Amino acid sequence: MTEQELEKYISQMFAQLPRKHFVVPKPEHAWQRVHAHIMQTRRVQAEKPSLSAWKYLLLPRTYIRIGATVTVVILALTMIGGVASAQPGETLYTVKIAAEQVEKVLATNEEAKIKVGIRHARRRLQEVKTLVEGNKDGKVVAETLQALKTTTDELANGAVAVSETKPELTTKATELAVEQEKVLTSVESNAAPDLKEAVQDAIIVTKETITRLAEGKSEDVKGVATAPVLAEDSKPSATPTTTLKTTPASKPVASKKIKKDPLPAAEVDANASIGADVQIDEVVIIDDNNNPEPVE
Amino acid sequence: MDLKPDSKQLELLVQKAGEGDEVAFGQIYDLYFEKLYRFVYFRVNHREAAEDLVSEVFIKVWGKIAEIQEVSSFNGWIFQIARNLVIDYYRSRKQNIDISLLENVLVYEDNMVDKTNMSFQQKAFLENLQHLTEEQQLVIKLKFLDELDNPDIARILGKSEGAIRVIQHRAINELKSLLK
Repeated sequence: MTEQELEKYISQMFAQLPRKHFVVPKPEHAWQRVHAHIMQTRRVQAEKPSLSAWKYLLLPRTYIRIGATVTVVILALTMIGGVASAQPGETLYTVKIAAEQVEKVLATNEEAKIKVGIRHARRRLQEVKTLVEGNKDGKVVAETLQALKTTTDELANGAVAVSETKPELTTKATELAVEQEKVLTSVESNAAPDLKEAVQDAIIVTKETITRLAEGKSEDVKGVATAPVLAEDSKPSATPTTTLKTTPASKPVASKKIKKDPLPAAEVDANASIGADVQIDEVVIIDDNNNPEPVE
Repeated sequence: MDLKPDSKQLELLVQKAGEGDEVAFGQIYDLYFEKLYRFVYFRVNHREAAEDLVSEVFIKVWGKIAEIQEVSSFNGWIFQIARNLVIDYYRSRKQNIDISLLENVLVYEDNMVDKTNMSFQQKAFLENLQHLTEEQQLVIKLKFLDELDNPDIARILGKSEGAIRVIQHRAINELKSLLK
């Protein structure tokens, strides 16, 4: 018997053997389940938005838009090497700033936000140094200094908030602020006369930031955490009880120095004149609305 | 019912189903339902479970059919899905069962009445079949009972076609010597 013949024989034997009682169910029953699944997948697909690629960029601030922006920025950063080294005033600098905004959005927890803040503050500082040394346009330098102050302020707020849980981050932020003060001080000597004031302003903000970081208090909780410290007989409260107005965190504060009112923060009248007996070394910051903000 | 569609017919159906043609997919279902049910039923030995698993096979096929590059491997692929689902079925029941042993379950009647009615040749054939190794029995059954081709068997068992040919060749030679 050849192999082919044997195969035919085996095939016949298998076919002739009495099979176990075997009833094939109606295929319609199982098909109902399959069909229901097909309908379900079709419904899900129909519910998905089908927009052309460019329309994704016009969508409201959704995850899709964020995703599209991230992709665009990553592509831009990958394809154009010059973006990373772009300086204020250059065309690619806007892409760099957009990338930083995406970085901020993607930083979901406090730790990540602070790390990103440190990185951005370092960049701004380096940019200021490069611009001043290169005698660049005063307006651009002033804008960069303003951006540096805003970044530093935001960073300080975040670092102070986690000073108890993540002291190492507060230390890093403090180290950066100290370095910033040194750099700005050296920059001040090279700065053009019309920029000196802006640089000095930035130095003051930096010094105040160092103080805030050292004391571990957030400027954002004005009138709340500071009130019990100043008013001995008052108790800590979760709600603001003072007449002080808070300044939005995103809004950079003006850095006018005034003598601090000796009254507790809870009793400070924003319109009251400043007495001559206040301590000169205690300062508060006046915001754009001329409301004093105690720095403790 | 033609259980072995020609490759061109199957290719067309798979292509259409991949584009979302439900009718074409229904035709594939009709072609494979009984075959798959038999394949699954003799491995789980439970009617409702087999029916559920077969519908699960087709749900998975629907989800992936658009990604199929080579229609020639469709047959092996669909049985591979069925086999994996059988394995998952036992895993979900926390039963450690050797799938190769499971695939060697007797598909044929083994009660006394039917055995008595069997011819001498049939009895001898079944006895000789038991002398083969488990792997050889499995390949022979997949080939002659489930009517699968070597590439399909290779895919299901995760072996090369060459390996399947060798197992099959040795099994047939063994049967040849036993049947002398």
